[in-house]
Amino acid sequence: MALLPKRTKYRKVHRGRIKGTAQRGNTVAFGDYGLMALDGGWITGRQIEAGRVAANRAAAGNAKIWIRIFPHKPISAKPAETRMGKGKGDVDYWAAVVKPGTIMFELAGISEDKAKLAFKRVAHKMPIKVKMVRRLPTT
Amino acid sequence: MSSSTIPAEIRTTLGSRSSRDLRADGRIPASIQGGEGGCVNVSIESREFWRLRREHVHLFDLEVDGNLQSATVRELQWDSLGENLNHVEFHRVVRGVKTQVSVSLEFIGHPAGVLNHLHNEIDVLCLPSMIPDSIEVKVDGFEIGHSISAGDIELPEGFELVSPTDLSIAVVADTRSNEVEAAEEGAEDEDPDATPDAPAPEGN
Repeated sequence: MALLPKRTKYRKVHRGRIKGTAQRGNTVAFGDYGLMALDGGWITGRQIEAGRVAANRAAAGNAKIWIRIFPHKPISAKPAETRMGKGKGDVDYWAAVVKPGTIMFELAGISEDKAKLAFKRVAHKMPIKVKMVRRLPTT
Repeated sequence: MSSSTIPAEIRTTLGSRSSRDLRADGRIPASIQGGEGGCVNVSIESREFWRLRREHVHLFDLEVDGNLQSATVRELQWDSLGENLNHVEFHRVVRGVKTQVSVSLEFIGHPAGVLNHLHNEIDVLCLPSMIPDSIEVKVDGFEIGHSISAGDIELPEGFELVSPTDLSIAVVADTRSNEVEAAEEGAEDEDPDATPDAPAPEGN
């Protein structure tokens, strides 16, 4: 089932602009390998779920998976063949706002080759360019 | 000039704009802190720094205004994409005197489940010339639920642990496939057809 918030403060939000690079959530924090976004964009709850399932199947249930993004943003849409006006459309789906550099998924407990394969499967489910990264040295 | 010497230029103009200009010129903004002399803002050549890092050098001799200052790397700041260094923080050390450093841990082997890392670095006291790339932690064959604390790590000779000995470093957690197998086995055990000797329900 796709991710969505339990409750929200406001029903609908403005579109907003995605500017700059990720200043937080841009390091591999929990696992051994991470999947980094190289573009900015909206990742829908369904896409996140599809990525999770793809990673789980590729890793045959032997890996621990972290999902580092959550779809907080309600995206509204008007029904098909509707005249313009009459107010903003209803919430159609929920999306996570992702900036370049955001670590979206993390994996642990599997070899690098298997992690590469799993992230390749996940990458096919994502609407943006991504790359696999490892933990960076801090000292 | 020894192999670990890096020429460092003192930065007179500070701030993001001048730092950006330095990076564009192939230099990395850096600072030298600790010990005598206070904080000195310098810049080093990126290519030279990376050459020494590839050679596993951890004790650098920074040549500032003709003076050599021994220092270790205390912190590396990366850009958002983790491709380039934004800043290097050096810490002054004295050769032959033990200093406290953070060393990354490398987990070797395959435990029975998934290894959850709680800490990826530990603080140790060692000679600056003996700082390793990483400290190996053997986790081969560890059962599910096994916890590794800082005190369990075998340190190289001459190293002292600074982190608390009871600091939990990693825990072996169960994998989903193991949980599914256990659930299936449990279901087979509870299957009434599999136990023909079971007493028949009363009240027929």
